[in-house]
Amino acid sequence: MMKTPEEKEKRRIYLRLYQRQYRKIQKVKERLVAEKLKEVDKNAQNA
Amino acid sequence: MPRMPKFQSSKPLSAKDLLENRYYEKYLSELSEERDNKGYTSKWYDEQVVKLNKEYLEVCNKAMKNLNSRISEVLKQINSVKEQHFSYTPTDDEIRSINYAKDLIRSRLINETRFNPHAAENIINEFVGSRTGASAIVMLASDSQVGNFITPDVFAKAYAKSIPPEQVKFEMDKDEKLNKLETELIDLQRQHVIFSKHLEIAQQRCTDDFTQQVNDYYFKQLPTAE
Repeated sequence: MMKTPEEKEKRRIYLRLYQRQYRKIQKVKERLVAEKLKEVDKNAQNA
Repeated sequence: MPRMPKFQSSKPLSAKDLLENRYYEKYLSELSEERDNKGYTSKWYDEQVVKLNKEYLEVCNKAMKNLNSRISEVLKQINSVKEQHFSYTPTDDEIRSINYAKDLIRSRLINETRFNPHAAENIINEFVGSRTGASAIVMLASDSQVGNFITPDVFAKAYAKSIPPEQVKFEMDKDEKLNKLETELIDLQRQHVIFSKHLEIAQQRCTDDFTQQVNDYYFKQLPTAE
């Protein structure tokens, strides 16, 4: 089924928002993992 | 009663307002215009400028006080946001599922790697995709029997997957709040640096006026005996 230009534009905006949100989530997850790894390293050193 | 209309407002002027609108220069030019239009003497003008300097210094002091209190308020807010930590209590069902996955992974790792040491990777990959499996792998990292199968890379992957979406949401909100407050703080600190100099100039004007007044009250040069 052919999509109208409005629908295409909506989809494009939705994808952009989705990608932005996804990048934000990945960034937060990366930070949390880095913090956890640091904590694990510290615990290993103290043990 | 302050002479200048803007200085009469009950709401104190902010440092930003004072820096951007240059009220002092505006009122100074108004005074010289008034002097020229109404034919006042330069004595009248000097007296008005002295008054203006005094009023302006008062307004600047108030603005500086407000700026300082806003900076300390923002700093306090930043600290309170930084102190917020996410806490999550898994439900009984979740704990049961994780424990089940943990036991299953452990027994599979022990039994299947006995004859095939490469099986560990496959078993871990099988479970690391789900949040329950990933949580079980994170817990097994410190296990004495199978902990050696969980490499730092696998641990990082499993930990990333095991983070609950609520925590991600919480951290995102926290980052956003911190970002907003820190941007405001940078702006306020920049204003503080510029406004300190502005206040110093206003104080200098008043000191100069005072010196001038003192010089007017006393003899500039003591009469000689001649």
